[in-house]
Amino acid sequence: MLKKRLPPRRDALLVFAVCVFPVFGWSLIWFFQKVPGWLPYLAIWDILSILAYALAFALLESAAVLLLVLALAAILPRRWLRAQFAVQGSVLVLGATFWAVLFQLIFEAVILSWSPAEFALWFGLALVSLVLGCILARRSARTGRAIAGLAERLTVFVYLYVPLGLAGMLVVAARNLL
Amino acid sequence: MDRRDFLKLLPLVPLSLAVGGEARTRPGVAAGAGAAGPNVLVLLFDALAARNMSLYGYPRRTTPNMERFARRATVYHAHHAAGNFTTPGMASILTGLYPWSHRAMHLDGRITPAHRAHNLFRLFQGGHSRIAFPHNTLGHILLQGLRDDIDVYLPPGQFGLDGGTLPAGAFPRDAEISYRSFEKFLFRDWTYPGSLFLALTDRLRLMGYERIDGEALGELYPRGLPTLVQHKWFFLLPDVVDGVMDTVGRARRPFLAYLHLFPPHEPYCPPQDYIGRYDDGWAPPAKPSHFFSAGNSQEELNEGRTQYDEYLAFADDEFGRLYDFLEGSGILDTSYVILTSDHGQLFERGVHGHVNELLYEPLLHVPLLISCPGQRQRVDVHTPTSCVDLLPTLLAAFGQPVPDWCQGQVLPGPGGSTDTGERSIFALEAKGSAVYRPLSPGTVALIRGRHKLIHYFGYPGYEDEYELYDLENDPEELEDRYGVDRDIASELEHELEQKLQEVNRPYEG
Repeated sequence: MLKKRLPPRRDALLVFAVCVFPVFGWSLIWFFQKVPGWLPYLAIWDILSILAYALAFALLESAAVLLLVLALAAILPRRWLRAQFAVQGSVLVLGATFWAVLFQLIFEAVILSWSPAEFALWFGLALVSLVLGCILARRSARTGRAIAGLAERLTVFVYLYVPLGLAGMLVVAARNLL
Repeated sequence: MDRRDFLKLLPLVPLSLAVGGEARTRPGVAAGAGAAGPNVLVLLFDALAARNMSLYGYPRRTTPNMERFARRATVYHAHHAAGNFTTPGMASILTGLYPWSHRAMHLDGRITPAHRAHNLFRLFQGGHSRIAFPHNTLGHILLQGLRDDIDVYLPPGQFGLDGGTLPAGAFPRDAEISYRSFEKFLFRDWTYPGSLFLALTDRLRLMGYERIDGEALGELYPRGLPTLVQHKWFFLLPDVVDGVMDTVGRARRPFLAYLHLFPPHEPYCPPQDYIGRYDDGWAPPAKPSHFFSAGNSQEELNEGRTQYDEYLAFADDEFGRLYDFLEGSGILDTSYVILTSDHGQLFERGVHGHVNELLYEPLLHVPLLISCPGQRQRVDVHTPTSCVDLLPTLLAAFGQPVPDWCQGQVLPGPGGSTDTGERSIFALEAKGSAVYRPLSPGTVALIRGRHKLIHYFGYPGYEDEYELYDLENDPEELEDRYGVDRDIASELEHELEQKLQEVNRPYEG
């Protein structure tokens, strides 16, 4: 029953590719930004161990984002999301990525001082933009093809980041079990 | 210490011998397993500057409760931290080593593996139940390297309103690196967390937490909820002190407890009752701006000082509650109770705070009070002492030999030493240096008797500078006598140069 409510595996893989790219990318950018500050007092192996935790966590975080989108697809009516899952799922993840990056960058300077009304406004705006993006992608074949093409190109990162994430998990497991 | 001070200490000698005798039955252990020896309680208030304590003559009455404790303690009037922020200061207290040896010189730094076994907890293994509560996250990360030597470990959020993101004990076999990975990189950071989505939800969670609790407690804490400075780890000091009392009250005897409380470290968030307490218009003499000035105006420094004093008064009142508990429960009579700090706080020369390039007395001069079991009389010691002296002093109090690697000396008082005050003590600031390379850049202070030499080296634009002060005639360090008192300046400079060469030698080439 559940299987019927889930999108095809290939479509899920395309959406997963769109998940891993920003999640791993964000983590790696800030990791390498911090490394020079760590070098004076942390050993190389310690820094690599932190990288292992980061990669393992990024893999889990990517999976969590995918699971969230899959859950939406399972819950919502078929034609809202599941019918064109690769495209609309990718739109949701790309849109969420845009807002997450923006909110992270302006958090200290702007968001911390928001009133509840401002919260409601901006998060509502984010939600509406995601919905509109999905509608646009469904109605515009050209947009849909562009999104699908982007997701196809991003699958290469799945073959890069997933093994790295799994390697990270192995290191974390070894550090905690051996 | 003069003859009168020494005579006051004589009644304590039989007690320390009695304790030491018991300990000698089991070499290398401070008290035999199961023996009912004295407890050791090291109580540390973070960023507690002796210069802001009425106990040490500060014009504002900030520490009446610590003055009560002082009536039955040995009070050290010239005690110095080894660094100007928590990591080096705390590491030096716990290892009896200066920062150039233990190499915990950086924010989030750690004790070098070569010296990790040289710590207070390890030296008290076998007899005492060893308890640690680092309320400061820098202390938390430092102690991860010593977890094997600690029996009861209480993380910073133990008694707080909100704990860390990572459940305490989630990765017990890899505590330090997992903490650095999750709490310092993925979820909480000075800049941007390493996790894109989940860290954002965590930031929003904490924000909501602060808003909700802030509203509920807003009238009581008008400046905001007290929190740790690197993480949004909210706490109410009365809750923390209640937790500390509960921990100490239920601890297996004898115990060695290192309890590191965050206040009066900024942010200064006392309850409403303390705000405005020192709106007296008083301010110390203004001092010239330093090369390393952060640009704070004198008005900002005075306001910061006033807020700090308010927070200190609150911390002192909470110490009063703890003191009453220790006295009423009898723990005070069966324990060595030590009250101290890891570093001070600066409100002068254009700089507010610590973690800077400076090593003036407000940053280094910290309180030290030691109450021995059964002590009923106050003793005052005025010779310069260092935080590296605490470890050997505690060992001596239990009749144990001081290890060769220890760089401190037995303090006058509990250990029975009669130090004349002619030795040199040091402090180091080198968070810009690499752990396994010669020190540079850095600031080092040498204090010998009444004289203090400060040496700045390796800083762009301030590569090789010296300052000399006569602390007896110029306790405010207003008159730099480096160019005037050339004899003593040259002597101290030579000694410092020799010391730096000695400590850098293992890291050259």
